Amino acid sequence: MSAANSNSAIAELYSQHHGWLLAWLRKKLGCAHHAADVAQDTFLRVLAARNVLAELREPRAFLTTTAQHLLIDQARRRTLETTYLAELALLSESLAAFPSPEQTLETLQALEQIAGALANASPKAREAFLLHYLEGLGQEEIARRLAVSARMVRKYLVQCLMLCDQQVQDEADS
Amino acid sequence: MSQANKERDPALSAKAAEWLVRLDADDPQERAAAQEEYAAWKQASPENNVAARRLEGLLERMQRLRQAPTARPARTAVEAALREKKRNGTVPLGALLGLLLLLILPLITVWSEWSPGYLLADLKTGPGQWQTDRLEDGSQLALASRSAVNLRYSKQRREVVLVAGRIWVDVAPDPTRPFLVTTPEGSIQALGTRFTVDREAGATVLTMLESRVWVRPASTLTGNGAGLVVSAGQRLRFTGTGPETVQEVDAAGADSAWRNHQLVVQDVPLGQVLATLSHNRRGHLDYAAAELADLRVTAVLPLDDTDKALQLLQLLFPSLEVKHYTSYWVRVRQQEKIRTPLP
Repeated sequence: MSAANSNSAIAELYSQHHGWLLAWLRKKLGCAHHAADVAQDTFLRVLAARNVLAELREPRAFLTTTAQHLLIDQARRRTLETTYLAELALLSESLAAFPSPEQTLETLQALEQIAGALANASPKAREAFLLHYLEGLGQEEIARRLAVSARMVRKYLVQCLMLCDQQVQDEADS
Repeated sequence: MSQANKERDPALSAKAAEWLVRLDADDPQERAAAQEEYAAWKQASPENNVAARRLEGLLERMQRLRQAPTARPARTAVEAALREKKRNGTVPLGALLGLLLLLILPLITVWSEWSPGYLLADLKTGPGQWQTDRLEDGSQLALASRSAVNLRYSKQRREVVLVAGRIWVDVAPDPTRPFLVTTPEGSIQALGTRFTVDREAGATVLTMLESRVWVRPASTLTGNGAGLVVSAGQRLRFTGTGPETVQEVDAAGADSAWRNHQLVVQDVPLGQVLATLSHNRRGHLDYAAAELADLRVTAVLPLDDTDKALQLLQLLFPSLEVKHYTSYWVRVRQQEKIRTPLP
């Protein structure tokens, strides 16, 4: 599908289904304002996933799935932010130097990337990844804690690195 | 074909990832060997190099995150975010129930001794009973009259579920496990502090005595707003719909009152005081709140000797008649209307 064709496909998708999606979201979220935001973001996402628009057989199902993923991501981002900031606040008494707003923003963005990537990993793989790269634990130690072989730990780490890499590339492309 | 997306090669990504994981091996000899082979692989082709650089960048960012002091908050935040369950976007049942509870508040009391939650609780006290326990991590937990808690200690966390009543907590520091007190209205997370939590009908009241905690009202699960940090000398009441305004309290006074099993009140209606006394004793305390409506109490009353408390109230209000029909049935009435209580 050429660029021109994919743009017109989106335009058609929008004109035919935007109203419906908006109503669906309003009912789901109970707030017209939030619904409008999410509907907008959903179409933006669809725009970003350029290669997907050939012959959408179920456009409404596709839209609601995209919207749902968006809502999950938003909820995750909110939890991430509030948890991080609250934990930081709890520590602030014992901190010599509190991180600057820029540092905090950078940290949050990195964490969001990681959380988004790891959402698709198994719980053990996630645990291995966080223990190794955020806590600095050695691979043998992690193997002991998770009751798996060191080879399995490496597999987990590779899996998660690849998911993170995918995430990085997805964001670079959109 | 779709525009511009560069062809991705997951195989390259995998190879680079494998190298980088090997470079982190525990064994220094293995690390050294991997270094050499990795360097060679990178130079073998430009695509290899690109993939390698990208993943190295990732690792550098992780390294920065690992720098204390942000490492622990970072890990906690990611774990919390990953636990995020799918949400419907509709108002959760919990919040609706909270609202309902507020609406029918006058008709129910949460101090039911016969609820299964209370009867099956890990630690509980009867009417007029006070108890202090030392938990496995060294934390101290005191229960007031008619209170019940469940203990959920695990390797990841230390949780006290407040089923009913009031507790006083002095948390032992444990950097590997957070300490939480939870109620249906939300959770209170501490980091080595002292505080009290009261369960009322449809609400939880937190009084900070030392240091600070992080409160997450259940309402934040709908995505409305962050949790909040409450510090020493503050009191926060929160319900199913969210937190109320934070109030200032005398932390030392509150702590002392708790330890001494006292009720410290200032200008509080007598009916309310009698309700509290009733809660702290066996049997039934009979009184009509409406009749006593204009009598207000400023006093320090013993909660572990409610008979004495009633005597003290009689000193404050000479028109008050306290009749003991049996030790379990006490009636409090006004003999005749007087305009002002004894100062």
